[in-house]
Amino acid sequence: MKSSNAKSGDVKVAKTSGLSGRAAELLRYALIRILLIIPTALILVTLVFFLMRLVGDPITAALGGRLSADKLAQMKHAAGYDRPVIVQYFEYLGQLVRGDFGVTFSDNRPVLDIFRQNGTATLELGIFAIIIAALIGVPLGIVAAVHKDHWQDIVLRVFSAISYATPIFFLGLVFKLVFGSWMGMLPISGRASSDTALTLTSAQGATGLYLLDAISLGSAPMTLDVLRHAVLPAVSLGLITGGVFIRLVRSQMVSTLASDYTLAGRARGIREKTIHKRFALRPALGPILTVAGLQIAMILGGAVLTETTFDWHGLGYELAQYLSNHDFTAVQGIVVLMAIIVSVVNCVIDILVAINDPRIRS
Amino acid sequence: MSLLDIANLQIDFPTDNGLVHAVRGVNLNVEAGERVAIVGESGSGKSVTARAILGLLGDDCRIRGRIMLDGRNMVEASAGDLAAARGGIVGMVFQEPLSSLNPVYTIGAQFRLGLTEHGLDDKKADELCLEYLRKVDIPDPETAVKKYPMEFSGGQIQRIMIAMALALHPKLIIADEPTTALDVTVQLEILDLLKRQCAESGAALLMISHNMAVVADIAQRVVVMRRGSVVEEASVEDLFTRPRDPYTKQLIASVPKLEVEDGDADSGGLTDVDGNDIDNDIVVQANHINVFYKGRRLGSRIHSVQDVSFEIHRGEILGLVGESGSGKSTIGRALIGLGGELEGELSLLGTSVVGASKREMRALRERVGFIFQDPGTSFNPRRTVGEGVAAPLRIHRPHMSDQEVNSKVRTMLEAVSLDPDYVDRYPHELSGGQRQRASIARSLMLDPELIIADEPTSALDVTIQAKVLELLKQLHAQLGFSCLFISHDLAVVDQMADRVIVLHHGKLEESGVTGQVLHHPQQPYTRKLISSVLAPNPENPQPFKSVFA
Repeated sequence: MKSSNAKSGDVKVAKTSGLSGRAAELLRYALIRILLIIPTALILVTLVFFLMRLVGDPITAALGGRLSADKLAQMKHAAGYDRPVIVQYFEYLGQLVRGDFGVTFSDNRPVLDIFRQNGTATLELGIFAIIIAALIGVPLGIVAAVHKDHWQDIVLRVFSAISYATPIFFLGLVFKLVFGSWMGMLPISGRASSDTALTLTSAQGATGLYLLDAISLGSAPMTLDVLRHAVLPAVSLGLITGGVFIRLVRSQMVSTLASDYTLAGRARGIREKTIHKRFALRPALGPILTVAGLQIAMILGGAVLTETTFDWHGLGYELAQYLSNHDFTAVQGIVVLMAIIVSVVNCVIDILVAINDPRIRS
Repeated sequence: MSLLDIANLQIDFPTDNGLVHAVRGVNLNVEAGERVAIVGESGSGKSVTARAILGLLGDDCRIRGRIMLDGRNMVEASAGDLAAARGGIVGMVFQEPLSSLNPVYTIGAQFRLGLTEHGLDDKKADELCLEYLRKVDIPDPETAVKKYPMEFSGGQIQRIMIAMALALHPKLIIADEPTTALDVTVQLEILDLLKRQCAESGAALLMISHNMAVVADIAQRVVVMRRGSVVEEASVEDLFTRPRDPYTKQLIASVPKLEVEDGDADSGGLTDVDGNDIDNDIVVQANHINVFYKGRRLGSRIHSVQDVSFEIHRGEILGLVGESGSGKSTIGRALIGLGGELEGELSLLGTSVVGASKREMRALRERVGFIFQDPGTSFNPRRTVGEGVAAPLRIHRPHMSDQEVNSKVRTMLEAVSLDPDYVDRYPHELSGGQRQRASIARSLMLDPELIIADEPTSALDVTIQAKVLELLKQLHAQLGFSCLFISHDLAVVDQMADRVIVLHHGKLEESGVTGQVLHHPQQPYTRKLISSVLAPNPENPQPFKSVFA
């Protein structure tokens, strides 16, 4: 069986010789992945829509018990919620295609605005957390793999198990208590001090990413302020995700370090340092990237807890607020948006994996 | 002073069951420019010895003794000395071509990496890379460097590995089973290339192999290892003509040989059978069968077996010979309705396989036994050998009592010369040869009329292979089943089969009585295949080559 693969390799040489063939192959792969977002997103949207409707219509959910039955029915009729669900579903799909995610029921705010104002906050927190998780997870994972079954590995295994078993709100509270209240070193809530936040949001051409905006304004105190606010939430979220990364990088590296090609590489004189940093790491990256993509989805979802713990006004924070207000239109809009973001992120990750590993794209 | 001088080398590995003594006091030397082979079966310590030379065994093992390489003791060498020796003084080639190159780097990138680590700059490294790829006859090296390992065949990868090993003018090339995973026709090319390149560069060669014929072809001096010790060392002529140690004799005798003399060539079992009976007693009849597999792209099909016809008579062993990718295993699976899409006429035991219902197929499979190549994976590791062997009875004879099943299992284990008490053992507690015996026992549980044996001995050591083949022959004589014997090894087929068919790229090249086909091949491909078979005879390692050259 093995050499029959080799045989098919022979055939391929003829077909895709040269770099242009390879680029075309990658492009084709990327295109298919991007097109696959459409059915994925459609399935997600459908699921969310029908699950929400299973519970009831938005008006009953928000106002049920507070209004008379007559009044409720009247409002439902006015909003069109008394029509067949399937009609409402297609109407909703049509809205989505036009980029209209609806208006919240409780405060009459376009869902897209929530995304513009709070989505950037979540994005910023997510990016910080992923960077911290990667900074912790990749080097420590490599250390654990290289020293497999030695004390370094055992310590790291315990550390990662503890870190991803710790609930984020608990870790967040401990951090707030220790670094905020007792030591008074770091702010414990919000994305920035109120005056900084005001300046940044009202600045010309603001992106909504506070760090970026503060830097482009050229204000060192504001940049520092934003960073200081980000430390606790980003580290809590990053630590927990980092634990997963350690385990993942370790298991992948253990197998590439034991592979035939690593042995052959060592026999050619490739030094351990190069093997750990490049030669055995790159083939391990595929599965690492894939799970990292899933982790980004987790962070978007998991950020609900982090954001409420640290009063960070992101998507998760808003979602929690609207949920407690029984505002189904808002919840549905935010969840659908998150679902679309997750499928886009996964698509990007798939393409990155294919760029890293030629075996994926052919 | 020798280039390589190994004295009283002892290597131990700690395991959960205590220390394993992998190498027990080995002495070995290689002179500059010499070609030496270490030969031995699995577990002999030959690869461990070779890897110890470059300190490639990891930190957990305990090494005692001395390995003097070019004046330095590698057992106590610093990390810097080791790094300089790897690739610099010694170049190494490994067994598995499909996994010995990093899949995510291009050929050029990993070739360069090995050279720049030795202090060369990128430009010089790239020049050397192209120069050596040209030397080993890789076509169009400028394009080849931009390709990934998966785009090359096994033989080409081994050429690239040889180029990498040679690039820094090492004094010694260590080749660890470099042709074991290759087809015979490719094996010959690679051995020639290794010999030629070593001669050209003046490098010595240390060849590690389990294959006596390969050793006879390439080495000047041979070291025979068994269970971590050297049992015999001699020049290649002496070793094959006057072996002293009984184990060496057994090794040489176990190698299946193609008989050169053809005057009284055994024309197979057909002469023993009454001519009239043959036509009436056909177990398998294949008329113009085609097998297709789904291709990678939607809707595409791979034409794996193309217009092949053959039949198997009752009581006959039909050999099915071909190299990898020839479609030989596909035919084996198609017979019992597994694998790809089947077209044509195929009848098994009087029932048509094409268009058979699931129920009919199930009834048919009851009458067919299957022996797979890899005894390591064909048993469920979580079930005892007894349960594994009893599985066919449990499926097809659900009414049998535990006691009946148990006694049948024990009888069959005895029939394949296994201790009946092995019923309570787990597969990993058996050796490869024992597992293959158990899988033969399993295939015979339902008294099959046909046995399909797909490379049943190619994962086994030669001495074990000889015993398993002997057992199969004996069981065949006793029980009289028909057999489709699939193998890449012509010598094994020569030994087992009454008639043979030769497959090449899915097409039937030649068929006939084994002696006829192997000694008077009509087709060029069959001739090439036969002339690629090496014999364990240093004076004439390729007995058929002269005939057709």
